Amino acid sequence: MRHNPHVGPSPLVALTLALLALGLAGCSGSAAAANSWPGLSADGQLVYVAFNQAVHALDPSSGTERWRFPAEAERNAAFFAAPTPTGDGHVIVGSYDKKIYSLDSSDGSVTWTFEGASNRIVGPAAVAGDLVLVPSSEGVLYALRLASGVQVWSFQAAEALWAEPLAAGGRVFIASLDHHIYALDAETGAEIWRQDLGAAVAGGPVLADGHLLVGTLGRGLQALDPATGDVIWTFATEGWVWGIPTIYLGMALFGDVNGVVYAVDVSQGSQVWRIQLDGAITASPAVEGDMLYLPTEAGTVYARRAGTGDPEWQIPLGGKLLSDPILTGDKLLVASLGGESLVTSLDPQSGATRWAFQPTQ
Amino acid sequence: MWDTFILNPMINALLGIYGVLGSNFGLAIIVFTAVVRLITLPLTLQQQRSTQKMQDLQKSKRWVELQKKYKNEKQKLQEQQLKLYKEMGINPLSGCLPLLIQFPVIIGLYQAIIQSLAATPVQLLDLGKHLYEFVSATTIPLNSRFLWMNLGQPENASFPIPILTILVVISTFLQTKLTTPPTPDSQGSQMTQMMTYYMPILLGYFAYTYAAGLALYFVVSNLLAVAQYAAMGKVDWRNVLSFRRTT
Repeated sequence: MRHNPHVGPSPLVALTLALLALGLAGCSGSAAAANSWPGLSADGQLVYVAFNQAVHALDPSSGTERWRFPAEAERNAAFFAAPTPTGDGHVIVGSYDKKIYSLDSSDGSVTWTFEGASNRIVGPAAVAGDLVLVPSSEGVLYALRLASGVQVWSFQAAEALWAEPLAAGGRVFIASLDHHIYALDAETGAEIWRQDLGAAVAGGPVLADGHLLVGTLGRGLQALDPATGDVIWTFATEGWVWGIPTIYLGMALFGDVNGVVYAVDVSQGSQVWRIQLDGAITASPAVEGDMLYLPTEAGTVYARRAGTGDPEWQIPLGGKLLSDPILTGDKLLVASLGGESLVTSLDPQSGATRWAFQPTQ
Repeated sequence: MWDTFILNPMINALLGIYGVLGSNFGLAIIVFTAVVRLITLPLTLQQQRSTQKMQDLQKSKRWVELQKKYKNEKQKLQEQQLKLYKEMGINPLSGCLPLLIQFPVIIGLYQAIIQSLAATPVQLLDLGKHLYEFVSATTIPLNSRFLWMNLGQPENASFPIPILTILVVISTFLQTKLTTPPTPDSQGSQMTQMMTYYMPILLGYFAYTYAAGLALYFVVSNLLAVAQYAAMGKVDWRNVLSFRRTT
């Protein structure tokens, strides 16, 4: 550093500080920065991946891009929530530009747009009959008419909603960063009950054997009575539980951010087995047959026996593997944040790569 | 290394203060900034003493004579200046060193504020890795509301008039104007003048564009810097209205 002896250090230092601040302020991120991981989904016809400035629809057999939305990148649009196929030829995607889009899955054209949200859409939408339920970061759950995008009702939580809503038995269950899980009337959005879980919830709940299971950032998995919201049992974990548990033969399979995978008996809340992987786990395990597939932040994809946790294969893919893996047809799909490929298709039996997709600019 | 010794302690201290102050992140930033300024006060004082020595030297008869004598021989002038520094026991870099040591602290502060607010999944996941075991899960996520602002978002996202940005510009101008000592030569004076206007605009831009929590830090930090100087009797309030070049 050149020091001018004529001048006190302050101006020079201030200039350096300003330049440093310029770099540091970049930490706060912008809409275009990768401030979440890719959202991955499939509907049998197409594989959808939402990441940064586009939603890509891929051919599941080859990984070829069929279309992308928007065709040209838009400054404020950023997509991270897993697109939700509706089953009627559409896919619902939420954006960081506060908009919710219904796209025609054949060509990616916009069927309708909902512009009533006032903050980012981080979590994936869920379909409940003729409604689509979309969580938003301003803490509002929007229930929109699936065909038109017209708002039917909304529900306001105290903090952001990043979790996927769960619709079952005429009710909607939605967990929030405000530490609560809410049960709502699916018709009206009226609150039926709420339960304070003592910690934020980033992932959604799942129903299994009359238990509503939800993982929290308070190092635990809780089982609630879906009728009343009463806590039935709590299973303590080493780290935050982010992903939604996957149910397999009466066991809840899930990981925590300390890299531990747990198999917990749903009826008792007791541990069946546990294994340590090489990095944080935010994804929900994909299970097919007796095989469990789980990626880690360290970039490794693991295949384990779902019943015992015994190893089958593992492969390093690179990047951060934080997204939920998808099993579609005879392929295991994994999305990577910062890896060589955005989506990699693997052989579930061996872990061999079938195809890889990296978007072109 | 950085995380272990700088960032993690800062984030956890910030969250600790947040918990004590009734989950008010705005107050936590204010108190935390004050605590960090207090901890780094010895460095600030050392830097001021060095600057004062330098200023005294530059006002001395010998220094002025040197400037006149070697005004057309820059190389020679520098040699003579260094000789004079040595003779007077002044290290010209000693004024910079304490501030350079403070840089990691300032950078850590920025990062701690941004990471604590964790407005996106990647940021929240990252925050989890920085937390000590004893930090209660009940503090996450932080209540980012403070007065009219959401501290995790740019002020303009929730309020039409960028009040905080205006405060950043004014307080940075005041801080630069009041705490930057006048320099006896024209080159130094030009640079001081430039910084007086450049810094408020730059920090004002940051305040307007990035999370309001950073802007709050800028305002508090500026006001505390002015208060520190005032407490030491170093502030000349007449400087605020003086727009003439100091030569």
